[in-house]
Amino acid sequence: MHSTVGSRFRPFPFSTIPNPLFRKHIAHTWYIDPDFPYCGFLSRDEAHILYNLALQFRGRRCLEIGSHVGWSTVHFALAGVHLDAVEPQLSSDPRILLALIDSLRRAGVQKHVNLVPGFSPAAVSSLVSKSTLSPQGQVDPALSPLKWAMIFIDGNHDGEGPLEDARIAEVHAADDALIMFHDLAFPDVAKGWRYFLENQSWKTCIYNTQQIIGIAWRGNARPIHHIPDPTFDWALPEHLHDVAHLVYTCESKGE
Amino acid sequence: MDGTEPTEFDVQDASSFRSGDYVSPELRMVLLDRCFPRMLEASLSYVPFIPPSLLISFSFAFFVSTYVNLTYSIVFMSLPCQRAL
Repeated sequence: MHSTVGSRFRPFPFSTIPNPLFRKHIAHTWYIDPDFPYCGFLSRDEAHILYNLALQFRGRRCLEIGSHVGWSTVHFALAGVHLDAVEPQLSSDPRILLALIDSLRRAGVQKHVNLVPGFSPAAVSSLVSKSTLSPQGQVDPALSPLKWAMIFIDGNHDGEGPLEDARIAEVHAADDALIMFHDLAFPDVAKGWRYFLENQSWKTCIYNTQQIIGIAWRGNARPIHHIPDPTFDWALPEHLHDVAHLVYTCESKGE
Repeated sequence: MDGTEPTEFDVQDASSFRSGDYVSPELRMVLLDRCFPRMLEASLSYVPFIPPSLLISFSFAFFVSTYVNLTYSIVFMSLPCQRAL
């Protein structure tokens, strides 16, 4: 989801994209829900990267941080995963909850998605803690804490938020896991992805999409093949120049 | 999963693919527009940002200049009257 995060920007008029970190020169269609115009959807290419990456985790438990009205959630869940979806607006704006439930119901994946109201990383920690509790509410040493096979991070784009999400994702990722960040065009989000870049046990790459996707994986998880739209100049923003060699290309396919 | 969940949508949804849409070749497609009946295409324009401090400064300057102008006008207009007196 493209967040208009910088709170100083206002959605006026409603059909405009107010954040200058949006890569306007990549003129892929950008979709919004007019009831919530301050936050857009993943582009179709990005949503399909999410879906195709998730297909390798069919039947496994996965996590989404930042669901908005469910565009990414539905793409993720349709890959056949059991999804925990963390979204703070579920408790603060009932309209978001209704829109999200409606989208899940229309796609037929409602029973495979566990909606978790709250801010990450606190809501994620709480989810993990609850997974070790017995039905009586006491810690059961026989129960293993939750481990997620794929984690999609598209939550707080500002300050330390993405880095905090990265840290908690690393702690609760399965041995064979893949982490996906959306909006690497935002420098703070790129810092979250760089957390894995600096960690030797993870491999990383970038998909050149409208808002840039960064992934990290380990174990038997694998990236997917991706070809950026050949009609655009895919120059990376300045804060990603030093990692230009990690952009997924056709040559990367054999790796 | 119970095996009954939908994993692909009908080709009819492909009609919702617009000229600005792109999906990398070789990716498995799933078009979900019918799950989001309210989704709209947004325009690609920026809104110029005016910092609140600048806005307050301009407002203050406008208020002061208007006040000064009005005061000056009243004084200036009253001068001939005073002279006449």
